[in-house]
Amino acid sequence: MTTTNRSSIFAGVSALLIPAAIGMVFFYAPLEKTMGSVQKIFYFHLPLAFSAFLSFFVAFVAGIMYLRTRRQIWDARLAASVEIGVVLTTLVLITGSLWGKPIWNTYWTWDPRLTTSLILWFIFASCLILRSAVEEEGKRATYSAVMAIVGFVDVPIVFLSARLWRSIHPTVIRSDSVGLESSMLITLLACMVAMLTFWIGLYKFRVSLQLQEAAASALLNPKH
Amino acid sequence: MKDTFLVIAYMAIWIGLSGYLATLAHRQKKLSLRIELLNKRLNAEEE
Amino acid sequence: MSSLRQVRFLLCKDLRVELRKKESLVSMAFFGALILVILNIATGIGKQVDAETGAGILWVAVIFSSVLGLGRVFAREKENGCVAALLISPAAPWEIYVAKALVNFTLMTLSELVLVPVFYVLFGAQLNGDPLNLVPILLLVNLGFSVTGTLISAISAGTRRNEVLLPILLFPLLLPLIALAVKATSAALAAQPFSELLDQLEPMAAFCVIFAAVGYLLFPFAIRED
Repeated sequence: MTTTNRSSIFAGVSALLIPAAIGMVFFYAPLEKTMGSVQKIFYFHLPLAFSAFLSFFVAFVAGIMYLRTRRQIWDARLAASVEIGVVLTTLVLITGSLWGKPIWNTYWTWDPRLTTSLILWFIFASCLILRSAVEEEGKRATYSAVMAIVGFVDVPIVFLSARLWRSIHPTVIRSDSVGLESSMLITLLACMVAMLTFWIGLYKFRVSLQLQEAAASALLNPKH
Repeated sequence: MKDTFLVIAYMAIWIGLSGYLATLAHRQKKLSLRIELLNKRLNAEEE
Repeated sequence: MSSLRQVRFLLCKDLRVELRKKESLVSMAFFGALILVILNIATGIGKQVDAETGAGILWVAVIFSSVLGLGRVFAREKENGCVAALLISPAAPWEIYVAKALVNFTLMTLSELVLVPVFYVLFGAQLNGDPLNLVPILLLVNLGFSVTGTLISAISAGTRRNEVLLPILLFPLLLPLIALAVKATSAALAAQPFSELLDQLEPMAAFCVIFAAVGYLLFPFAIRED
């Protein structure tokens, strides 16, 4: 399977890049003044969030392409990206929560970015639940495509309206917009590159798995 | 005390990602076995 | 037939069927009232609620009871094998979409005529705001709920687990609308002037427009799967 071979290039590369990036986080990046060592969670929290968002964007595009072309490859890409997106978003929520507790003494804040991540999680997790509820492939593909498109359209709406909710709850402004000095920026970039390489390998692997499973079940239920 | 959160966070990332990878690898293995069985069955039927 | 007449035709057909037995309306109003009573008990019998809590309570009751009505919109057609008939009919998919959304809008509005008074009876002791201020909020939510819900209902009705899937698929999408509605409602219940509500009403209207457009584009794909 050439796809598995190509994905293993990315896998191999990321197996080197990720430990290197982690090394940078702990040995190269300086200690942040106000937050101390807990700030280092940020170096992977941000790439995780970015990769999760990228996954959902890919799902959105795959949904549109499936509805236009009806080709199974797009459904495979949608399934892969939705699943990976949900896994990554789970980690975003966990790391965000663990960062928040020592800094602001709360496990959860309703700031727009965390809120959007939470709702994204629910939207795309519900898409996975939908997929498990439909057996027939064409139907499942169409329904998932519609949900992925609607879900992604909702994202900016959620983000913008979360900014409007704020005056009910006491606002906690996230400080990752505080200026980063250059060594921090470089570390962040390294983690981002490592994460993206990992994502590409993971995505390709997951897509090939999906296609193989579809082929296997086609063998079992041949359509005449 | 703060450092505990840092450690837990990185452990969570590690466990999460490698757990997911392990699940996928397991699925792949089951699938390969299944395809092998199917091929054997197909070859047997052809004879 | 022109589009307007198609839509009106389908709308009247559904409303006539509904009004014969009032099956959906009764369940929506009854379930909504039941939720209000349960929430009254849950917040402590006899305890007064402030505007913010009251707003949340009202909206929990409305959205959970509305999901009941929405679940029936396409389920009834599927049970009787009517979806194919609808698709073969001269009505374009988008006309079916608009008609069904309007049906749901009507049902929600009618059930709220029962639920809002019940809410005031149970919780209204300290809520001094002008109830008329609630009307635009209710109408906008009904609209947003209906345009989004009709699309999602077409999907969930195509699965074996319609009633279970519908809230799971729909509620995450509606969260921004509901959150804005709760905020506006708590201002209205707390007797704030109407101008305070515009900050929420405008984004809510935008929500309705965006999801109506998305629904219009995607509904034909969802309804044709069977």
